[in-house]
Amino acid sequence: MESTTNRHDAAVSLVRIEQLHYRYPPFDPNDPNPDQRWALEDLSLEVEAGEFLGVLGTTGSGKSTLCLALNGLAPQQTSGTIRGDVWIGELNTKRTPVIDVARRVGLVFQEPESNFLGLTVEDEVAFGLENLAVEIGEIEERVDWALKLTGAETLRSRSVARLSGGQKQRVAIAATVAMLPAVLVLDDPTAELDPAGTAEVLEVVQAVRTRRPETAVIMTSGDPAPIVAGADRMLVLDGGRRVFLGTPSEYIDAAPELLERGVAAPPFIELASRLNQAADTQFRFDDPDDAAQQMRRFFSI
Amino acid sequence: MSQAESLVVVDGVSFSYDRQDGPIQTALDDVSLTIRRGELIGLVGQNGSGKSTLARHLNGLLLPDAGRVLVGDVDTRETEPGRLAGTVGYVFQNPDHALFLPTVREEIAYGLQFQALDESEAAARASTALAAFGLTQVADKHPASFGRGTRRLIVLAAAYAMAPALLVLDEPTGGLDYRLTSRLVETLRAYIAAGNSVVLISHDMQLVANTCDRVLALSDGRLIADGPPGRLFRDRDMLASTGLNVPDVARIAQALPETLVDPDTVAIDDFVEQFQRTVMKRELR
Repeated sequence: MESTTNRHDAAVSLVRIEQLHYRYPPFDPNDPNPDQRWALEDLSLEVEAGEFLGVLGTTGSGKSTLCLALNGLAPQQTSGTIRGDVWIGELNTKRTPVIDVARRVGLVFQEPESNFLGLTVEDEVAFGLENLAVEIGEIEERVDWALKLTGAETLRSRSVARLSGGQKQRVAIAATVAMLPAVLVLDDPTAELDPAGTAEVLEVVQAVRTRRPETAVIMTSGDPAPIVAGADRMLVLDGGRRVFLGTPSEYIDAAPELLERGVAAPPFIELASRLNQAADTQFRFDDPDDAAQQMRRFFSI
Repeated sequence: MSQAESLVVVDGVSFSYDRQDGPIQTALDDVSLTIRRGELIGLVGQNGSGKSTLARHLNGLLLPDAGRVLVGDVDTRETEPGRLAGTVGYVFQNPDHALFLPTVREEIAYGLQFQALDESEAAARASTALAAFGLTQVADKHPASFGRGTRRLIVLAAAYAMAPALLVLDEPTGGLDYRLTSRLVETLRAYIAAGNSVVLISHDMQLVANTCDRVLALSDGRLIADGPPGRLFRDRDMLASTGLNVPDVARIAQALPETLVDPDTVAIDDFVEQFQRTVMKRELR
């Protein structure tokens, strides 16, 4: 499932993570007992152009570190110890200057505020392009295009400070997409949003995939529901290690075991797991409606 | 239970933010409710519905434009927030707004110095809080050296150590995995069993359904529902108008005949228990 070596049309995947190990530097150089654990340990996987990879994991499992490693901020800004490689096409992210990786890998952070300088929406979207020294005429074109693609045109002259959480993430994605990244990385972008804001972010991600189908999307989430519903494949991390890689359907099969490890599952999956334990049933639900249907059948109603 | 001692009374409270760069925005509109001892209350609503504004009224961080808030028998307008901090603890959504000391232990002990405790009692309280949140092993580390989930546990433990009669938690499970969330819920249940109260602000409707025996729903600054979660999560019109989701378990229970599962069922534990009973009854037949 995870191997692409059999494909004869694409020799190599867009994103290749090869035996990646990463450890943060000691927070306090005088700490006699520094944490020696790897934040990411022996992680290998490939993501193809156009694929949506969802990433789940336990607390401290390395989800955010993975995002930093994808665009070279780890180790180039965080320092620390790295072994193994992350390739974006032909670029090795630990060796290529971050500004050059940034042309290929766009990163959207969890807290909308971390993405902004406090300007108007259109200036925020233009800012990254200005830093990449894109010509002014092209900046205007790309800003128009990105705002339209993400459905943020009506927000264009508003100050980002006055936007809702969902709107802020919409603009953050517009600013990232304007750089035409090959890979869009989102680090738990819905963590602080209500259901409407979460739906808004997922809709924008889908719009990016429709309009730029070659974009690879890698999104981490504390809430498994958006990932299970939208991703092509899912990666689950625990203690920096890969403990699952497969389709959402394979994930539903593996969920009871992952729940034991502490990885949150959507409630309908947790319910199936709890019923199977308590009542010796063999339920496997695809969604809440499927759960109700299967229970009716179980009781022959 | 309705006779239990009331802890906080919110009486006809209205509040507007005075914005320099825009129209006056009404954040709370004539809200009244009573929080009693031993209650674990869910507070739900969309972003901007007034949840955090209401929470900040419970400990005097904000004062009402109209109406009043009584904490015990103290009117919040007639005291200072510092004096209420021992009674009402408030944990902000962003843990980084509350972390500023070099070790986890100091962070947790910080608030205790303002309480009339002798040294050994304060140390014991800090140790109990560290243990309750699984932080004993990392007590001497710097809070900023951890990921977001652990930083959240630190601010929760610091508020818990103060042993306030009412603990108000704004999205306390963000960054916490399944195991840590379950552990937090157990800690909160023990806390209310000891006669304290908790207000849990969350967008995770299944968490609220599993945990709370009373839910408050806010929409545009108005309190539009106050009651048991079973009733709230059956009111589809109200939920749709406020943009709230029906938790999975409630959705499933409502789609099944009443003879199998009570349609008011919202919590996973409760659902599993009823399912087992139904299976047993059918097997006996």
